[in-house]
Amino acid sequence: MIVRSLQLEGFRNLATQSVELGAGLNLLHGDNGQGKTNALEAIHLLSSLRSFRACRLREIIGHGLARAELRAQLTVGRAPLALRLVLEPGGRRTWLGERPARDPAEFLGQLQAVAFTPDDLAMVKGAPAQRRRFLDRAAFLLQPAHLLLARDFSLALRARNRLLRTGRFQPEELSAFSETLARLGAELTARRRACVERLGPAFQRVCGELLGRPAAAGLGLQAGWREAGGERGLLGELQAGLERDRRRGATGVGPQLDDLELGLDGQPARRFASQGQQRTLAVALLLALVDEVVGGGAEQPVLLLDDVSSELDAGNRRRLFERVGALAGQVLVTTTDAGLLGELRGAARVFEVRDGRLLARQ
Amino acid sequence: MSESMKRLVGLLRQLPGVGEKTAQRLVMALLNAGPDFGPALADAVREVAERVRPCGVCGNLTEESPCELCADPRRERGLLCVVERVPDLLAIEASHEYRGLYHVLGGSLSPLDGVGPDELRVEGLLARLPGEVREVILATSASVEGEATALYLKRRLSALGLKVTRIASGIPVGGELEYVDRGTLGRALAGRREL
Ligand SMILES: Nc1ncnc2c1ncn2[C@@H]1O[C@H](COP(=O)(O)OP(=O)(O)O)[C@@H](O)[C@H]1O
Ligand SMILES: [Mg+2]
Ligand SMILES: [Zn+2]
Repeated sequence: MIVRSLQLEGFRNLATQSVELGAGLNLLHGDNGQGKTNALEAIHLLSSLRSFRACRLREIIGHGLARAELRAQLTVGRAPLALRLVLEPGGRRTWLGERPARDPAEFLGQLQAVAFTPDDLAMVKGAPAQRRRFLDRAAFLLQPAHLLLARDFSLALRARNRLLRTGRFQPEELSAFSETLARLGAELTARRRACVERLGPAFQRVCGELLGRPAAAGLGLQAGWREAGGERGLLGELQAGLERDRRRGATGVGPQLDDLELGLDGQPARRFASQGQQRTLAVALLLALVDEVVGGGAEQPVLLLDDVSSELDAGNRRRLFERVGALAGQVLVTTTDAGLLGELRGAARVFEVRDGRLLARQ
Repeated sequence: MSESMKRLVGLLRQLPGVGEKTAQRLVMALLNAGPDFGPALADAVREVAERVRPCGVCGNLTEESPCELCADPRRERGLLCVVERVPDLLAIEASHEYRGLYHVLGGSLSPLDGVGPDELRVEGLLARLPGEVREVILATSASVEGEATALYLKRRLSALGLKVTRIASGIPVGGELEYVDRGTLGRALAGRREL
């Protein structure tokens, strides 16, 4: 999957412009605050309909403007596809070609992109919610049905929690939502586990490549309930925890507590990984996902790497860009480091990003 | 626009799917449709608003209670199909596959929207059972709320010794397999049932 060109209008600080991207490695170089991250954010937004920054959609609209519009021309397989997204204070609208998208789910599957941003540094040591988000995104790229399942589960969870908080419900009503939650929850954790098992070997391999040495790196899923019991078991745990859940007004057992564990050299990375190792592991996770998607016969998602190389020593940086440069698909990398330009010359299409404009270097 | 036109546009806009532009277009079309059309439409709207009520038995929309479905002696009284809303009933009727009775709940259980059993026609359903009914078909939607509503009803009905069935779901009605998006198709496969 390739984003051939991108038209921007009213998107953060980016000027109204059309950008022709290269099919392989694209390097966005420029000083701080010029719009490099914003350009990656635009592609990510077309992919997932949410920003990789924690923000409201309306904050994305350029200051003082009424709306923002993004268009992208993709090549999917060999077929062209045009996406269009309009953001207005009242909400967003989406089109596939000339036709409005039926629903967000239809739009979401089209431009597949995965991003590394500086926030992903917290992937290793931060809160489990971030790792669950990654896992659900990965599972979705490997199996599209995961998205609807994760949404249904989250809806059922919020419904049950609302009943618990209001405290006014018939016993059969709570049971109905507990049963629904158990059915969706058992399937959700099972799918997450299958995803972790697929990613594990690729993660181990990529870690070795990035670290330049054989690395005992692994992935595990710590389920938020006793998986061996299956759906029936989860329902039993929900029923057994009812009094506690009522006191807290929240469901205390289930996939909402699942966690992805990253290990390095036989140790939990969360406890022992250095700053640089954390960066490498987080990037490795992403590259492992890209490998698995491609290995499964699908097209490579567009890979977005924001400020990925800062803090890495020379060896790690070289290995990272060798690895990324060897990918067959499209990659966008941002950097403030002019040194990278020299290292990657020839291999990359280079854009100078200045004051909201992306200018292709010849 | 005159005050009377603005008032009509304002009212039309309260209808689902009608925005400012559509409402204006409808008012223009109304004015261009000849002198008799407006009064005829107004009469029809008044008549519907004054006469149509939910059926006291099944919740279908009707001018007489019980409605013509409930009163029809040719309908099979051993079968009762529970749906969320009147359009669901109409869709099943249009299929010509079903000759039993209906019960319209008025929605589905939705704690996030403050809809519990008391907001739905649940007690009315229980009051009808078992009577002549042998089988209750739960035809609530395949959404999280629809599934939970079906499970809830199954439990409430369990003591009555009735056969309770659930309609198959997954692919939307009329959905050609090749046009159903990959996610929906995947979920339908995962939710398959033994036949
Ligand atoms: N809604 C917005 N409208 C206009 N400018 C914005 C908006 N949101 C962020 N910006 C500006 O975008 C710039 C940051 O761009 P960014 O892409 O993060 O820079 P970098 O090149 O360092 O990655 C900042 O100057 C910020 O003020
Ligand atoms: Mg940046
Ligand atoms: Zn009736």
